Amino acid sequence: MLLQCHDVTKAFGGIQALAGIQLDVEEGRILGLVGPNGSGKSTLINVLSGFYAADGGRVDFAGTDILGLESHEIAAHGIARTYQIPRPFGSMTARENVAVSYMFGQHKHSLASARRAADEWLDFTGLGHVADHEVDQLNLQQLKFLELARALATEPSLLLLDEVLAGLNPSEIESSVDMIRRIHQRGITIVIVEHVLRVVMSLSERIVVLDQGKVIAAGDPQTVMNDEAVMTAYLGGKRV
Amino acid sequence: MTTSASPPAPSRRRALAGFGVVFVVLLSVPHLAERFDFPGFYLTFLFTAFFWITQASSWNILTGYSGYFSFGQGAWFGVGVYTTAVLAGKNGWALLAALPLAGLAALVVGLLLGLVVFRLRSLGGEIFALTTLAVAFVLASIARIFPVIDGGRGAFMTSVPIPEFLGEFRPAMYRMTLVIMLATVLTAYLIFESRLGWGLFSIRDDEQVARGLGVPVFRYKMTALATNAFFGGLMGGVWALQIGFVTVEDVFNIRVPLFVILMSVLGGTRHWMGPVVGAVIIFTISDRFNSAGFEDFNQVFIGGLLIVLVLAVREGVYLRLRERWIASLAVFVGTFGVLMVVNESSMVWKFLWAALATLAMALIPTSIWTARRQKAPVTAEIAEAEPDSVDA
Repeated sequence: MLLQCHDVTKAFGGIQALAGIQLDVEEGRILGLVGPNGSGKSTLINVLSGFYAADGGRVDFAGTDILGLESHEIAAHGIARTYQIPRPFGSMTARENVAVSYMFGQHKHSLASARRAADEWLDFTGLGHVADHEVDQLNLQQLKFLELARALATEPSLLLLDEVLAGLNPSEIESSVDMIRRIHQRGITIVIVEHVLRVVMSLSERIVVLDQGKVIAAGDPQTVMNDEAVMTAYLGGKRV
Repeated sequence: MTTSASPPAPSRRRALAGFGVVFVVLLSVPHLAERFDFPGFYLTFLFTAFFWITQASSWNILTGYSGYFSFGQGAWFGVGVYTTAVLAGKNGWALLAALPLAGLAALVVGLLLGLVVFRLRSLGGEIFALTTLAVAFVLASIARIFPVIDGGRGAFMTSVPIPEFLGEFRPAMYRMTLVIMLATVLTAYLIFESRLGWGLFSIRDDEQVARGLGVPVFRYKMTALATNAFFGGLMGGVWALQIGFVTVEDVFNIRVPLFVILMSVLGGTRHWMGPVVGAVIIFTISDRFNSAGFEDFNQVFIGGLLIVLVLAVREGVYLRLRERWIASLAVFVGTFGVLMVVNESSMVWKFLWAALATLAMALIPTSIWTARRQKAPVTAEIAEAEPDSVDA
């Protein structure tokens, strides 16, 4: 197992956002994380990337407990993430955004080597032609791909994708799905949080369903989606 | 597209050679002044400019690079001034032994402040700014209370001997401030062209994202703060000599922090050269107005100029001038040359008028400027459209 969560908890005031999460992520797989709004998906991503400190539990990542580490230390262990609403560095060009990420990330690199590496990642994500653009000249899909390029440039072994498809039109979704497959082919383990169920179903080899801060189902897409608890969580019970 | 339009960054080796040349040229000024019998005030003018360049550039390493707005420059400056005032002025230390401690004392105060404000996550940028302002007030009170430091009686620097190899007072001040100024600007440049610099820029843009990508934000902010405080304090240590009679009111006031902010913002905080250009311009204006007896008018003029320039040239004057470097050079040299022929005033006045003329040119909005030069718009459009069409 690349990542194992044991009983991870996190509360905001009186709201238990994560109520004891048990989760395993196998190396080299794509894991889909789904659940209704407020089920704790984004909170879990924020805890795993060190943005929020968890209240309790353990997270073993490649043999180390990463819970309680600063987020830059977690990045140095090889976990990268993207943001639902893209958060590029506003004063930099696309290339500079990726170059900064390459200089830090899992390994340290010099400024001199970063420019070339940045171009490689920009080419990989199809942004080569906008490398010199300021980020405010990029459209939403380009910004989402820049998020991917920047995360990839940290040379992660685990990539956490927080709703990369939100706000995209069907053809953009298609090219994004293709991009995620190509990232996966490079041997990077992916955890994808997504609302568009159809997409998660087709991408993921394993799906974990969260509801009210708990894992209510886990398994291959077909089985999970026919699970009674999952139907209840999504459709609000058998009242129909 | 703005970045690709600017000239490519020169290699580090070339830049370092440039620093070397500037150092040698500036170092020769006192000899030339003696040889050609320049009025002494030119040296004073220059070393006061070095003082402001150092203060503005060091401030910019923290605030311009990392985005943490600091009013603390007066505190670092003050700690430096009082360190030499106490050690050399009151306790007979050799000047050159006291100077490094002036920088180090400011650095230690800076690190202590950083340990408090940067460790508390909940503190935002506004709180940081207020805290840095408070530090100067606290330090002023400490100096006023303890007779060992000041005790309200001030400290004389007049009896401090200046090492012989540095020359008379003015050339000695010139040489010391020159070395510190160049060391500061060189440091600002080296940070600008390094991982540390880019880490700081990413903190300025979005600290949380920067941390998520692996930037050790606490360590980097502490480094920037310590560097800022060290050079501010080191220059303060030298400046105690120029002040002569050091008092709390003269040292811990709002003048230094306010001026470095004006200078850096006017010149541009996003490039290491910005504060240098801003410091030279604002110091020259302020110096001329004072010498002409318009001290009150001075602040009004600088304030007005700052408002106009910040609204019209948001990225700072330096980047704008670099973009139009041919025109800038032409306007500057042209104005200066004409004044040389027709005008009898001092070189500093001529410099000021030439600088103001260049600034006026910088004020022309980019839209008008580029529209004026539409010689080959067709090729430019094709070049821009091409990558897209190839991609499709």
